Amino acid sequence: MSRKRASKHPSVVSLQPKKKVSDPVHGIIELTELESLVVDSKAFQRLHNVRQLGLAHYVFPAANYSRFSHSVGACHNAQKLLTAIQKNSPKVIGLSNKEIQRFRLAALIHDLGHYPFSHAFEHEIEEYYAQSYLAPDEFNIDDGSIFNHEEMGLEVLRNDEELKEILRKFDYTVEDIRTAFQKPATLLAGILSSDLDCDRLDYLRRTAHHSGLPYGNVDINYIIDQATTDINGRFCFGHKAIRAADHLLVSRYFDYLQVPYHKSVVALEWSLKVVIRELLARKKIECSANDMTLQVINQEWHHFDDGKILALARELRDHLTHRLEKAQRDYGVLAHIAAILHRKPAKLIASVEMVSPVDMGLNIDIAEIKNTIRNFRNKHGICSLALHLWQPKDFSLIKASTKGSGHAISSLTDEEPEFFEYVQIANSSQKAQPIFQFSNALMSQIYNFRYRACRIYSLSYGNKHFDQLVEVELLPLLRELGMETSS
Amino acid sequence: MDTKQLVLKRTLEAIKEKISVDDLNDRLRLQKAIYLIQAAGADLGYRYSWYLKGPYSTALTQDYFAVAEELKSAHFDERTLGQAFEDKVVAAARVLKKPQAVKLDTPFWYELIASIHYLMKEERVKESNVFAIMQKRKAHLADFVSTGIQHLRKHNLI
Repeated sequence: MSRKRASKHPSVVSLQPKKKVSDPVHGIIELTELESLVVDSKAFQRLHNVRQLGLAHYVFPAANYSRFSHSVGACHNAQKLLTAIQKNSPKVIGLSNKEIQRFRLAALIHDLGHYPFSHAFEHEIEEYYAQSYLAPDEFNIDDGSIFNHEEMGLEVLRNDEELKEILRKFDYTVEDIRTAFQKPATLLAGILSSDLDCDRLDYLRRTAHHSGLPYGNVDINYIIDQATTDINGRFCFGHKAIRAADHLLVSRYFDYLQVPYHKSVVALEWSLKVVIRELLARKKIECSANDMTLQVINQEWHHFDDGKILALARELRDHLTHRLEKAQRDYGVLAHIAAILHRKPAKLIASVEMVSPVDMGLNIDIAEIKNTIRNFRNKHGICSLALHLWQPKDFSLIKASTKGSGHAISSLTDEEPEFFEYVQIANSSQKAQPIFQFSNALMSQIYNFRYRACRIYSLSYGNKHFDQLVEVELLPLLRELGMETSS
Repeated sequence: MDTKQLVLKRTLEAIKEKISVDDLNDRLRLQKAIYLIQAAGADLGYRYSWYLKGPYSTALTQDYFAVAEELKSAHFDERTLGQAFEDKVVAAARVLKKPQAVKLDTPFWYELIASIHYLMKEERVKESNVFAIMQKRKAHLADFVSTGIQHLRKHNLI
């Protein structure tokens, strides 16, 4: 990649390509002058070292692509969607270069605020800091407020000197970027954030490409070509896109089940979270909102990546290994560190899963399963980090239906931003409607189906009787409670 | 239920806001109630932007739907708010109390005072301009603007 000098009048936005990036999914991706500068910034280069899929590459060895390549791909898709809209919709023919660049830029930096290892880290710090509100506050945390990755991205834009200078040079503000995502006020915000946005269109194809699994191989070119606006000028897809949009939504379901919910990926993520929690509790990392703002100002954020966490995990391993008198918990922590450093995932010992309408839950007693595990632990003095009950957030085919029951979904109104997360379908003379309201859409029948699961994992931690006790005593109890077990 | 969602549930219980998300007015009420108690000093970490109906947090939406869903299940997490934070929440909730003379339904009362607060504190709108902006953005509440300003001033929030 080569960088050219900024033009003399950068505030006149040019969409002329200044840099070309070769990408395995999209081919050649062209970046404008502004985007080239952003991509070259330290805060953006950091994304090379934040994996999109956490530790999934331990299971799918080539699925180790970064937030960097994904972000560049999302920018590329944003432009393709804007081009299609301009072709298909008379309402937005006059979209200015400045406005086009705003959406492209927002797409490019949409993941700027991702923490190391992406979602697992964010979830763990959310859990850790939320405890400060509860009794007792065992970690003695002063500040329970954290940034989610979207808020963190804006915080980086606000406080990173290099990025601030680039935005200033091209006459953009953080507010320009923030409002680009804002539905329903920004009519084209769905390009950046919806069930069928530039982000997801990249994620599915890229994950399919790198994992070797076929599920995300959707016809994104055809879908993108159908992008248009409705009678109000709002981003939507034409009727012809219904089948391809159905395919994409179903593909996402299979992708989730095969990659993020893969039994060993889930096991590794558990271990990663345990290690992150341990680092937080020992104050090796501090991630409250105030801490993170300081990190950005001090430029430590540029190095706060996957490598940093793994290095801290190695330090912790060495510290615990050399401890003369180890507590039981130390052995548990060491087993989890080994899991993430040397691919030694916990074993899946019992599970139950189900696909059903939203109002039908798993046919097992989760509370009783939790009691059984607790009693087993207490009876045999098992380490608290050796057994884990995992339940995914109910996975649904369309984004907004993760929010609430079937009744609540149907009551979402177009005065609420979440309504515009649905894939919207219309032609230019109609008001767009969510895809599930079209009888020829598969989603009209299955939009409110959920995938639900409960799994129990065990991780050996040096207690020589542990595996046998699980086999002989715990598994029969779990079978009695309706779970399928590994033997 | 995540810990953050449990904190939300316990907070709503402490301020006696019904956890119902079935219609728009319920959701409006929860959005604005949390905004207001945060403004009054009980910060739960939700960040707000201006949407059609005033200050709105998309992260909060995710959480109150999850809490409402969890209420239907039989599994209860028994952890409670820390006493110091609960005291802060209860004190902050005084701002929610509607003066008897105000003939507005609760969600609209919350919408009124949350919107005025957001305009004055976040958008730095001068008091003299608030009425004009409210009339433009929220005509249905314009008649109550001065009452709302007085109420917020009484609670030292503007």
